[in-house]
Amino acid sequence: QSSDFLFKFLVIGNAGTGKSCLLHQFIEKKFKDDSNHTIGVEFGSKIINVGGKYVKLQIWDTAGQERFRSVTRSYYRGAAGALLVYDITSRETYNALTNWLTDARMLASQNIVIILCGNKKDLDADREVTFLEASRFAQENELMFLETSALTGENVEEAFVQCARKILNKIESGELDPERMGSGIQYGDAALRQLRSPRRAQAQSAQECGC
Amino acid sequence: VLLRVFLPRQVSPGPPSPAMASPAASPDSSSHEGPASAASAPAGSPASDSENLSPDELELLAKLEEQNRLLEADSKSMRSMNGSRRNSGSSLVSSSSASSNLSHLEEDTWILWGRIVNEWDEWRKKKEKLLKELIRKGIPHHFRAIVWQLLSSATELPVKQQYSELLKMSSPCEKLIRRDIARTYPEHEFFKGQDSLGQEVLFNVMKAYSLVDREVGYCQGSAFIVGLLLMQMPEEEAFCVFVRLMQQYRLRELFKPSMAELGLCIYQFEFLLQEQLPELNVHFRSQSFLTSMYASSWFLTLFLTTFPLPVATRVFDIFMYEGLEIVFRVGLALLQLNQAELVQLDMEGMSQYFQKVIPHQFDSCPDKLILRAFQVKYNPKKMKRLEKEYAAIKNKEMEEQIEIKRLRTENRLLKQRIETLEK
Repeated sequence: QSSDFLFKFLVIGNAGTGKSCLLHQFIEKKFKDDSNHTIGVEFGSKIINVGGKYVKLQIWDTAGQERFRSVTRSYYRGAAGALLVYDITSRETYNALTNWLTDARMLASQNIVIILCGNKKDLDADREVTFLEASRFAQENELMFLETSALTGENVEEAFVQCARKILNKIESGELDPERMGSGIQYGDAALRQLRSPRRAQAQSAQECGC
Repeated sequence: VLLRVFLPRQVSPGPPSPAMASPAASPDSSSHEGPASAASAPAGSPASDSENLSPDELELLAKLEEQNRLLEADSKSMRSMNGSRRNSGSSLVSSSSASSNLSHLEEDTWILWGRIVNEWDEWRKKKEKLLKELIRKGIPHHFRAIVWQLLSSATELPVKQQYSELLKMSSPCEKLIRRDIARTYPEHEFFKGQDSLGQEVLFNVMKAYSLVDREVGYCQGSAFIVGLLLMQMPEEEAFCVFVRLMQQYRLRELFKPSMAELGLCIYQFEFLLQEQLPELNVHFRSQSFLTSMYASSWFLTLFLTTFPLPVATRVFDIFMYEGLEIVFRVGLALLQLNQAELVQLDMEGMSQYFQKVIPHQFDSCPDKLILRAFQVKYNPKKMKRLEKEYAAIKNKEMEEQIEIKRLRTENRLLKQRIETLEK
């Protein structure tokens, strides 16, 4: 399937909040309760239809433990969107949001579109963070906000789609420029085809770059 | 010529042998101070090609050689029958039982390993090279528990006496550990279910370790290593082996909060990549495919989260004797074997390839992987030099950071002064 755009997305947040499960539910439409905890980074991608446009999301799922930030920080650059995930049954994961937010805005870009996801919505009985409180936080920090459940699938697709839609809107309004370096946005197939062809001719120059 | 199959092409004089390292101070004290850098100190290898072997040992080895050939033929035919067969056994020896010929050899292998364990000190001192070759062929499943303990010198660790006391204490890392317990080998029978013995002992060992080493506490990734140990041995023993691995095998440095050692490993690995696979290196760079993206978990979990356990355990056997070097070797072997495919792929294709294809390439032929790993060029001296280089780079970065901070503060103070003066 071809796509009009490619967006780089991050999934960030504390350990055990369900980042990998959200990604898996989004891509496979299934809850995966028997996967290893993430070491470093993992990937997924999916093409979605947003208002008639096909957008390929290239999603980077990161390890959540604090000390892994030294490793995962280098993957933030050029991300157009992010799911910032906490666990509604754990205040601790909610309290860490400010740090994650600072990292995302500093290391990805000031314009990164972030949707806050209060995951494990299905565990309402164990809730430690209210909807109201989190939505206020989202408002103050200019984030979109949804409560999600990777278990039931509720609002999972929506989270990714809403984030992508907002990025598309920003492109249409001219607020975001796909042509700008590091925007985390690429044009679809034409650009992809270019990427797939071996780049031996450019080998020399790429080596000199050293970045 | 015996055991030629797994001899590296360039026989280097004694690669680093972590377990040979000097007996450390008591674990609880040294765990706070950091391990001796013994893991990277090359142990002199006195073994010559003609080690003192008795005639029946020679005979056994000849049989093993034969077995090796049979297994290779066996795995080849299996591969042609069924492309991606997954091995179910835990070691090559125990998983291949088809012909009676093999089971005889299996018996011989047991006799040999029984002798090795009984005469451990002698083998360690006088038949080091041969022992190394045998380990590269895979330690028989039933001997792993004891051999891993012997290799890591974990048999009489004083910290073992504290273990039951540690379990009664509570650790600040408990919550973190809990979160990962059910997410460590979730598909493995031993760890399935909330009340399973596996989950309970895994939690115990991780907690106990976080108490004897408060600086490291608990780090994601390490539970896979402990989990593997627990599949082979009781929790006290697994705890002791893990303490040794942390102290003597660079693992503690890898899992410290700064994870600085991981940066070093990636730096060293990148150098080897650039040197030995320049074309692939250029391709990775042109796709912004960072080394840490695929290699971080290799170092942090010693391939336990990459390969199925029968294959990963073979790598782990070698790690127990030869240290982290095997991770560099296997990693580079993987890239060499897959270079032609990888250069055709873009960033996304490559990441999928690393996640889906590479893990199962050796399910039916782990020997092939090990063989290729020992054909990789690896120069311990060069690695040492790179370590110094990396330290210098990091130092410089830190100095710059300090300078920047200083200037920022100065700047702020000057601004304040201007403001007060303007008022």
